[in-house]
Amino acid sequence: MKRNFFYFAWREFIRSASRNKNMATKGVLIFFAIYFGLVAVFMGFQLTEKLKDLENPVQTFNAMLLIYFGYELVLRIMVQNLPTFGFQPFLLLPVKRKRIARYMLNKSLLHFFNILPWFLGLPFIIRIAAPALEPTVFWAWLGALFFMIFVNHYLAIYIKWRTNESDVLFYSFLGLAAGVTAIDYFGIIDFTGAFGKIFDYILTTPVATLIFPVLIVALYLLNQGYVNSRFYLDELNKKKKEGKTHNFSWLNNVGDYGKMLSLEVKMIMRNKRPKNTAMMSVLFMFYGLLIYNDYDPNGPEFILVLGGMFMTGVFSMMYGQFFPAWHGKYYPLLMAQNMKMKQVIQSAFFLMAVTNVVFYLLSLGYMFITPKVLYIHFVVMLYNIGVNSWVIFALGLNSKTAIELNQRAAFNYQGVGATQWLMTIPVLFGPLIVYGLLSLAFGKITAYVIFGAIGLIGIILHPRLIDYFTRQYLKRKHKMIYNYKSK
Amino acid sequence: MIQAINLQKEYNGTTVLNLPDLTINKGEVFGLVGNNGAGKTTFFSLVLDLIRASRGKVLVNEIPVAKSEEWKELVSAYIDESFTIGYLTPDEYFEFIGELRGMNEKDVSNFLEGFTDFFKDEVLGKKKFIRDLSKGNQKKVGVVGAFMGNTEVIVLDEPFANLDPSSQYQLRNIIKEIGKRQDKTILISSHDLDHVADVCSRIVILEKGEAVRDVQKTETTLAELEEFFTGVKTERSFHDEL
Repeated sequence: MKRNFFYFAWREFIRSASRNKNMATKGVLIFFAIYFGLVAVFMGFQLTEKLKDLENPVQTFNAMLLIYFGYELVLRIMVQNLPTFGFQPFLLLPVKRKRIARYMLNKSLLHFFNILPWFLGLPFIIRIAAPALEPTVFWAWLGALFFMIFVNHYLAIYIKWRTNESDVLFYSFLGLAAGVTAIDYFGIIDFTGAFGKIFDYILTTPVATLIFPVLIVALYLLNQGYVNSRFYLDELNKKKKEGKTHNFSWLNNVGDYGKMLSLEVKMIMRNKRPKNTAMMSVLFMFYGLLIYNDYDPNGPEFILVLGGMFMTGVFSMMYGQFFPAWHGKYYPLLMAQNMKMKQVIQSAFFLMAVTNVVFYLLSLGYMFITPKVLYIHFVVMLYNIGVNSWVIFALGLNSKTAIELNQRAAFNYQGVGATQWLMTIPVLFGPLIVYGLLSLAFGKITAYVIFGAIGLIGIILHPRLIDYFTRQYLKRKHKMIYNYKSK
Repeated sequence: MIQAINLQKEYNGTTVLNLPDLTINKGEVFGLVGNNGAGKTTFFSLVLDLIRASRGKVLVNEIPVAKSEEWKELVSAYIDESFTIGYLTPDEYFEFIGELRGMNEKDVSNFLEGFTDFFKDEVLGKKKFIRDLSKGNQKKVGVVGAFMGNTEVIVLDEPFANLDPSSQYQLRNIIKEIGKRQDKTILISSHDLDHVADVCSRIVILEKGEAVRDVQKTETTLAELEEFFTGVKTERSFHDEL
């Protein structure tokens, strides 16, 4: 085959039905990449300043490498996309599988993580390391760093592939990472020092750098072997064929919309993406530990409002972001069957409201930091249910892409269009702005009362608002069916 | 009773469906045939209000489908895989449809008993999700779901496609059984002239969006259909015509 795979990939990208959205998403990602790059450069300069006056700056730098690469490895495993490629059409053509595997692995190198270390390290490298080391040593050391990045890259891919397949491996890896961090932190075994010594060794014996390219080749071949063995259609995306089924029939007793509600719950529990979303929102409960930690009881209460927003509302925000696209793949069934649109809306509202309440109750754990959490989170919860739910429904009218339920949730940009990005503004910042204005105008306590009252009004009016949105969604029915059909 | 009044659908300036006046009466087993792109799925989608008519309307028992949701109690359908829910097992799917159609657990299992042969022990009682079934089995689940609930109207788009030959004949018999009951109206589209000629009481041929033939079934219907599509008239011996 004369054409290389980039030819096909480029066309796939350009000709995709959701091209404009993909480009916009890529644009936003590039923006973030540049932003973080600049932050990294800034941090790099800070680093240089700190190390400048030490005796052995390069050695100190080396000692910190494990910390960086260790965290980077874990981050890569979580964030980095596994190389995928629509290889099915090519399986039957006279194209060597090895070639497809090589393409996938090579293409994966185009990743921000492979450039990020340079942003961090360049200031140090240029200002301190270059003058301090002899040329051969310098290049050898630089080479070692350079290769280490790729070692991490391919190591991450391999570990990710393996842990994807087996939960046992996944948890063992997590355990191992946590264990190593703990052991090192408590000084039992000095892993960081040992890792740093490897690079110190290179300073004395430049030739040793060559170990790294060998490592890279070894990992590359390991990955290639793995991909080659998984080229069967049913294996590259290993699915569990047996379903674990829970019967949520008790939900049917909730009301007319109970049938839809039990379907929603099944949807969330049985599909990777909504399930991950749900689990991530539970993890958000610990966000409070992060921002409430140094809370001074007489300090600004703004932080508590922000925290309350996130902790009570995170699930409904993440779920609402893609409503009703979660059901996009079988939207025609819901529309043509004896399911009234009102029931779809009602069950979504109920779901969001209940999770808000449940998370509020869980967040009361933070009362040990300050009892103000009790009422501040409460009014925020009311606002979330009484106002944000309707904002979410309104924005859901623009839903355009059916969500592929079985892809992972983290950093999955499918279905994320301009609407989703813009959505964060009224849903997240709206309440903060409202609260800010109210507290400036009326002082804190009145502000809370009004804030909660607004939410309460929204809750009391929910029957009429649900009817309103039912009509709106019915109006948009055809458009949404049409949008969901295109891939 | 289903009426299409002045029903038209246009895409990008091209009219893909144009039915000035089509009435399907209660008790008919209505067959729709036509080449690819003739407008069969478009017509069914308009009947189910899944797409918006450019002009005209569809009435089900006098209820305009685009204006009210009440016709949904009378109609059940299977069009394509977007009518099944991949992450449910077939049993759960039937339970879900059953609930929507006012059937309790007992009703559902009684109903499904009649289909054990059809499912050949591959579908019921297994813990497999619908998305993990073979295409043919997925089809079976969707089609049987459309039979649930004793609805007045059943719409099936290409129900025979992707089924193995024995299942196709079983489905034929199932449809004929249901069709015997005069209170049910069944709409079917198919590329298989043999099945359509056997099962349907009335056949309409769509070509480029227009109904070019609309006939009640007779013994010669199959031959006429074949003649229409192949352009070849089969010679009948003098003996047969006697």
